[in-house]
Amino acid sequence: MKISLNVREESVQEVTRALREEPVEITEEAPYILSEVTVSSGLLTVRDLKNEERVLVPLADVVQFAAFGHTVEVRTREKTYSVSMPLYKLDEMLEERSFLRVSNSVIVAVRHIRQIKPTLSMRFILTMSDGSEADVTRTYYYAFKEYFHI
Amino acid sequence: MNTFNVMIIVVAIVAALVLLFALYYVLYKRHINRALEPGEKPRLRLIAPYKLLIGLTVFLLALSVSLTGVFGANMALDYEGITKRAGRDLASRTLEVIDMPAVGKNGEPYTPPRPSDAAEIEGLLSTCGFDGFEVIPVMGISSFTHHDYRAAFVYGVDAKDCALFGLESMEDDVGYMFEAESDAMTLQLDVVRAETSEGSSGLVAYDMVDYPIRTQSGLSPEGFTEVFFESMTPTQREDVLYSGRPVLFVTLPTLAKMLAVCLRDDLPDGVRDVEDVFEHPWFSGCSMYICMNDLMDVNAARTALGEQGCVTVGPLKETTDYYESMSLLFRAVCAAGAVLTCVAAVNVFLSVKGVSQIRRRRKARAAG
Repeated sequence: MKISLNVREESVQEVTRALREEPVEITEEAPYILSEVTVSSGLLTVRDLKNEERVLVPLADVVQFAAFGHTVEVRTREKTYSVSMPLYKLDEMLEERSFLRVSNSVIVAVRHIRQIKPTLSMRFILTMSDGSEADVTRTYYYAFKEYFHI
Repeated sequence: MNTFNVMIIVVAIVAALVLLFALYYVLYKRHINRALEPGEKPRLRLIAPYKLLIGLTVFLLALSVSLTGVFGANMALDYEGITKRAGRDLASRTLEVIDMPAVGKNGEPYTPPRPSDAAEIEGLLSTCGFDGFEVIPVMGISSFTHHDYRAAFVYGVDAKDCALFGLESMEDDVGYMFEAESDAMTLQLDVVRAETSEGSSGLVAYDMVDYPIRTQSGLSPEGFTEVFFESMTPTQREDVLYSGRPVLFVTLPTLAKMLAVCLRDDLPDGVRDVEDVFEHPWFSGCSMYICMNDLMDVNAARTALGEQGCVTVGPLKETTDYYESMSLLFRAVCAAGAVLTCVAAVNVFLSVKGVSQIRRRRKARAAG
């Protein structure tokens, strides 16, 4: 089987080494692409929750990432997907200016924040563009304030 | 400044603070949401509402403490018409009240016991009630030498049934009998102006049980029965003698009955408080005699005993309610303050923790 790699440069060697034992030929002209979940292309490979199909979702459409146990949900305005990657790795990969971690289990897309509601404790409640809400917890309170200069 | 005004001021202050805080909250919300608008950057960093809440909490706590400690106590004292607040005054005033030299009908001078130790008195009060101080069987007195007492009647067994005894439209040689039913008992007290054979006169209140009614007229709208005594026998009139200013004498059981109907709604118009009775023209210049008996509990006595032997008693039930309501108000304010303080303390702790976490992250980033 011929596949093409769509991974970061630093990952090429690691992936190639892993695939060496498999009956796979890595070539640019392959009918299949092994793609890393990455933001370099502005796309994210996610899994459809209903039919388990892999889908490429534009990061611009992602409203928030929410972790539930070992599952990380990727919520867009239309649909919810899952991604098999820990939240902290996503946090590292995502652009700092576009996404913001607001709690241990949630990363939100800054452009999709519609309203910030202050509370009487050290928390904010964010209303997202899809109508969902996300809490800015105390741990991320000051980081959030710093981000928005508020 | 009366109680109502102070309470209004307190409520107004709290309401104003809450309103200001709500306004600030709205402003802050608008301010931070500006950051979401493209091209907009908030210039100022406003204080977070929770920090303001901490300040507000501290302020409210200080306010409630000062109100409780200063205004609350003063108001309570004003309400009772006394200026001293020492608990031990109970003993000394008890002595003052009971230390009335009297001469019995048999000619024997009566000197009430005078325990020297206040604690001992309090012990007696609590253990024996006022049995030991039930010093003057009124009907047994032929002369009364102390007229400087201005007293009210207190019946402390059931404050609910305490009431005020009011007299109106008294005319010479005419006694009115007032009847007022309470849950516990019925008061029937007739009041006449008695004259002695020596020519002195005084107001005499008799228990209807002891003295026959000779004439009776109709009922007043308030439910009082007015009974006119066209005349009384000289013996009856001379049973109690007065010299100097008139003194209202009643028997101990009658006193208890009088006091048992306090705070009733069917009092004569214009008489709604014990002090109203004292200020009533009919009583001007009249001294009254307080009889303590075993029906009176320590708290009632404490309430009753006033400055310089003058006893001014507010309606006990009202007093109790007043203290309860004031106490509840301040407790509520203090409790709210305490809760807010706890919240604020947690917030402060967590905010400090949050700041330290951010610093750690920055350091970690800087370190590579």
